[in-house]
Amino acid sequence: MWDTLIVNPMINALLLFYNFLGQNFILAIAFLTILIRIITLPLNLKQQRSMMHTQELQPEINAIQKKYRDNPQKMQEEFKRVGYNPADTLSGCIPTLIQFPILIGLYRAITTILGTTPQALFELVPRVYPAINLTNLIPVENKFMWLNLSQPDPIFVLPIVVFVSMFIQQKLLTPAPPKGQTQQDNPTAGMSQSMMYTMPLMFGFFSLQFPAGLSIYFILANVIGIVQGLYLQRIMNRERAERAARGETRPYVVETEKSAAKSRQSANGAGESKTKVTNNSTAPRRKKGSAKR
Amino acid sequence: MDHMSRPLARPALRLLLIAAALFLLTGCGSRLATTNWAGLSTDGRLVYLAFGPQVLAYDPAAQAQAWIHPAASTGAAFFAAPAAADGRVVFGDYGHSGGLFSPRVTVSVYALQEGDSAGASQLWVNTSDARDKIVAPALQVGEQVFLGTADNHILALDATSGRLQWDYQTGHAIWGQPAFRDGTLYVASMDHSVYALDAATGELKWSQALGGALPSGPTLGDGLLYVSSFDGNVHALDMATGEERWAAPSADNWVWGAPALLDGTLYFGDIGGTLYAVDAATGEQKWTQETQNAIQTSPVVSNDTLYVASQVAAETPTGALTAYNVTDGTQLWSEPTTTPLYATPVVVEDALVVSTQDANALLIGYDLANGQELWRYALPQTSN
Repeated sequence: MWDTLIVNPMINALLLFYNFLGQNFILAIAFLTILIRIITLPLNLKQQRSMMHTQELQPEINAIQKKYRDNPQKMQEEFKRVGYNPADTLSGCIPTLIQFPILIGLYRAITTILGTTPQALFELVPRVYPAINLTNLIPVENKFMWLNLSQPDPIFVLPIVVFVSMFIQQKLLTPAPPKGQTQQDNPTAGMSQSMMYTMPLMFGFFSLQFPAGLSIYFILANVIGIVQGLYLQRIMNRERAERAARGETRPYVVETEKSAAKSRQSANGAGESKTKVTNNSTAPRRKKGSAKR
Repeated sequence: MDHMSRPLARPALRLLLIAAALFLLTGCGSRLATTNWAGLSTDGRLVYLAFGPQVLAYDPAAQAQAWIHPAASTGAAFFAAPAAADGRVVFGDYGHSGGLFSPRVTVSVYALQEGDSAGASQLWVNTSDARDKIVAPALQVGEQVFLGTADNHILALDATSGRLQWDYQTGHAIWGQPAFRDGTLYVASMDHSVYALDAATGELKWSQALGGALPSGPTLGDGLLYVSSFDGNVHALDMATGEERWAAPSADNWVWGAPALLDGTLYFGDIGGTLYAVDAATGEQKWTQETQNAIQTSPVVSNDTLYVASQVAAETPTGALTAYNVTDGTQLWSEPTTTPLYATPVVVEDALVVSTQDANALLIGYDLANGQELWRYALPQTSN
């Protein structure tokens, strides 16, 4: 079932592209990567925007959670009012979930095609659709510059590029927390910040073990992700500027410990907590749809 | 539910899912396709088997393991059939990496010296000249060892020291055992070409490009060499010039195993399950037999009987060892096995020996006459 639905179509797609792209397996992987990213683009954009948006709203979310800890119903109402839907947290994971079968399928497809062992090739035969003339394509060329695509990169270039490209992508998707805000103030942002390092490290590490062909996929996917991230940043900056131009204000004003201390100094202020919440009930109500862009 | 946990859920869940995916990925195979079928060979007395973590010699007469190497698994994988001659056994490995943080793969060629008593001592190890896995069985000729590698090279090593004498690069991997006659080495490469090299110097005498990848070594006949090809043919080439004399039978399926030659007739099968007998001089077809099983091995001919190891397609594939009459291809007997038979069987005295991928029956000996099981040998406990 898994092979029929995921692995075999990928094997055949790679072989087809390999055939049409001058029997260059790197180009075949690149073409398939772009195709996959185009197919998953709407979901990816939704996830990335949702992630950026949640990060942006994080101070409000924290403040509401703190203020209405004992009143879940009111908390939900306030979430809705600021344009945050907790259910998006789970639906936002769908693109990530979709990535896994793709990743595992591609791994299996690359290792099967570039198996370089008789048994791997023997097992490839029944997976290939009749329309593809495998005899003309075998053996698939697995050498590219210093790389043997079926083996990990022996001189560490690809793992480093995987790390760097994924770090840039993560950095684009992970807005820096507001100045002065600590991880305790905003645990989600804290975790996102740590993921910004752990994810590239993990993938860089696994690139030490995986065939170079899969590292090529990681790198291309990251580059496309970077372009996507830059595009989204531009869109969101424009939206932010438009909101500011319309005079919209955020319904919750959140003060961090530093700013609260400043306030206390200047106004001999009140508030024991790290975060001071002011409910600006006169603020224009954010459209529900704004959370979904 | 504590609402504080909700904003945390997405990154945490994402990280968890990625970790799970990577776990699955590594579970699918920490290295690229490190598995293959076992390499099986014989010197007429002992049976040699490279079954993954180790290489062993089995004595069918004593029904006992003669030796196993290395004594404990070292991380290297062995699947190339060992080549035994004059008490010296040579084989290559699939290589092993230097560990989690070292992707560099070291591929080695080993030579063992068999003693009079049980056991074998290491003669030499060459770790410097092969750069990708060794699938092909080595060939020992006098004081030379020839073997092909997956990094496209054919290597000639000094048999006593393991030192490199020459190497020749082809266009792709070499999976088949080279063949030697009268100072010339014949090599079939996956790059679709056959090469004739001067065995002393490695100098190219001729090469001939054919219509498909060549997964097995050449079979040498009377002035002609025969090579099986993925283009559905066995090609007959003039050994002196490389000129193609004939190609047959233009099957729709790959011909994988090297043809067996007996009394002017070539026997071979294709992976679609057809068994062929053709005239070795002209390529004219003598008979065919539909077996329904995928034949990827070379047939074995002994006492006017043709033995074929094959794969039986099923949801869980099994195997079959079948005997045919060489004259007309009629089936004499067939014995099922629990796993597919990928390695070409070997004949040792009155037994036909097959290797399976079943740990409880790594080797099985069958009576040549009637296919009755004579003995079986399970994977040594230390290798489990």
